[in-house]
Amino acid sequence: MGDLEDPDLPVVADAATGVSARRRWAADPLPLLLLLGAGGLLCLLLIPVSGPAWVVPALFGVTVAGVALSGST
Amino acid sequence: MASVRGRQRQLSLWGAFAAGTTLGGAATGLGLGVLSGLVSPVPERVRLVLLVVLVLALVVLDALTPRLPLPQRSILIPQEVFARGMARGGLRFGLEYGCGWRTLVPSAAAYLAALFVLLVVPPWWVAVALGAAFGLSRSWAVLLWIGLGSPGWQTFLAGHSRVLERAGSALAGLLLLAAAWARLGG
Repeated sequence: MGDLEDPDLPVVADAATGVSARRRWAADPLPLLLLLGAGGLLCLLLIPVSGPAWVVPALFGVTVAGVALSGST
Repeated sequence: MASVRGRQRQLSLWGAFAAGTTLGGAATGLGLGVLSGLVSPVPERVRLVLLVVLVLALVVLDALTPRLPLPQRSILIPQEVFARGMARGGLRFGLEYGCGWRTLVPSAAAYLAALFVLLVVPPWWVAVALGAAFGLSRSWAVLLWIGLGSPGWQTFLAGHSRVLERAGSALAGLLLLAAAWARLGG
């Protein structure tokens, strides 16, 4: 069990640097990924995915895949 | 990137990095597009069923394992790429990072994208565009950090990186299967 005073714990570091949770999430790739995923799903509902339109969800899919891997930079 | 001071310098370095990730992804897309020609004689329905099975298996594997047990080059890109200047280094780092197979692959999402191109057999230019989109999007976290990041950004992200990787696999799998259905099964 980690010590709550451990400076490596993100929550303690945030308290020390005074960074708000809202700002943390705004700079995080996870909300962007969820937004892109929701956009892709919305496109599936709105655009009849037939003919050349199959490229649209494919582009959303590979973009989501790239963002999922972007956290390991 | 964190060691580079000044937003303008960081943005110009990101530009070189993003150009590299985009080119790297496009190169992989082109390679996969060419390779997909080898499976083009397989009937479309068979390729679609194979893709569904593999995508589901990979998404479940990613969700259940703490670290992705799939073949990958488990070394980091060496810092020596920056020896000939930051801009050239950023481009080369981006090339290796964006191609999707020259360093660690912590999420099944990269495999899903590669399988999609291989089994859907898109026109070559679509394969290149998909690879470029994949590569470019791999640079966006750095752009977010430059624009909105603050001390402790990496530590905060590390606390939920598996959530990011698993959510990416699930969403990418869903979107790519829908696209494959429209291309091969619709």
